[in-house]
Amino acid sequence: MNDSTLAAVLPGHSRPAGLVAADSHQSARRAMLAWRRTEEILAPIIGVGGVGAIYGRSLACARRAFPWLPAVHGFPCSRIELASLHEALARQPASEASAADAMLQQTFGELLASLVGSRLANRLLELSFEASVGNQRQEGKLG
Amino acid sequence: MSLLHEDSVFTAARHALGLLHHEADGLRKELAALRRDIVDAQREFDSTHAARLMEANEHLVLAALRAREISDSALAELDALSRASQFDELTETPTRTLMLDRIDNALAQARRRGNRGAVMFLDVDGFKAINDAHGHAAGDDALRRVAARLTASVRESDAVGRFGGDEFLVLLAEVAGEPEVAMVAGKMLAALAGVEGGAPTGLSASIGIALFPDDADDAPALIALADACMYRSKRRGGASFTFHSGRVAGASGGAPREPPLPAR
Repeated sequence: MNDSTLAAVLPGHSRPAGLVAADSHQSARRAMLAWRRTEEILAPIIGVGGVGAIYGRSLACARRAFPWLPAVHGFPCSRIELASLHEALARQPASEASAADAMLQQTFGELLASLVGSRLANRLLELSFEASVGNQRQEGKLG
Repeated sequence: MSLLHEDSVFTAARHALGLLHHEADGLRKELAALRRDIVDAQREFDSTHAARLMEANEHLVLAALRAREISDSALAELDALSRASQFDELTETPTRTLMLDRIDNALAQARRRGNRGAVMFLDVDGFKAINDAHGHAAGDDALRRVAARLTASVRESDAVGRFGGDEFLVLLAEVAGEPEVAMVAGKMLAALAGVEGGAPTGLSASIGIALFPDDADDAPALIALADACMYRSKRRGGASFTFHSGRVAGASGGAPREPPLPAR
């Protein structure tokens, strides 16, 4: 996937700077919401196993830059293991956790785009992003 | 028509109408049930269809990613194999094949630019004794140390590679002349004999040197000449270097420890 195609996919799924969490736990929690929503959107289309497999491969790639991310055991990853990701992100400084999660999302987006095409990937990830932003805003109001 | 007759006709009509209403109700209920059945059937069909579609997509995604995993793993193996064929596992220096390639490149460059270079053939002195006295692990360790010390004695543009056993090749890709090569050879002998952990390493080597393009202009010929010169150094007792031109020196750059052999 070239840079221009990637740019078409990612803006919708990247987290705007204003949403970067102030502390690690908050950052990890927001990342969880986004990943949960991504799974909810994609699982009815490519199955929980399909989402897990893309996530697992993305995680393995992101671990090269962020070795503290949880290890992936075997292929395929049966589903997104949110608990271990949350635990790993929460242990890091917020900036490091955000950078790792951004890379994880970017790799996930690239992989999805390479499988289903960038247009469809963009639409699906936009849906997921909008939903998670909605959840975060709702969470902010309640909090 | 009498009033009595009119009454009975009216009653019969009402009865018939009642029956028809009842029948219509029954049909309406039957129709509603039928519609519900159709909706259920459609829903079930859609759900089954969607489930099958999702299952198919899931299989496709898994197959595509599995293919990538296999491809990655094959590439990694290929990379490892390629590295194994180019670098010696023990000393992590270029293998004989890669050294030949580098010497060929240096020769081509020397022809283009009109510069000179040197090939050294180096044999570790007393290596068999190290193996016999201390075992193969000590021998391996000695080879690793020799490789590290030789590599540290040359420039990045030069190359040190294990030729086989306790033999090494050194390529000096660009040199001004014999004095510069002699200086590097002396530096190598000094580095091998240096101190390690407060005590002398006990390492030394016999070195043979051929210059290009002066002595030969192809890799096998240069190596053969340097190899022959190495034996001359060895016969003098080692810890020295010999040029194909005949110049002989020890680690200090002076005369070797043993008296020189008669001239060829």
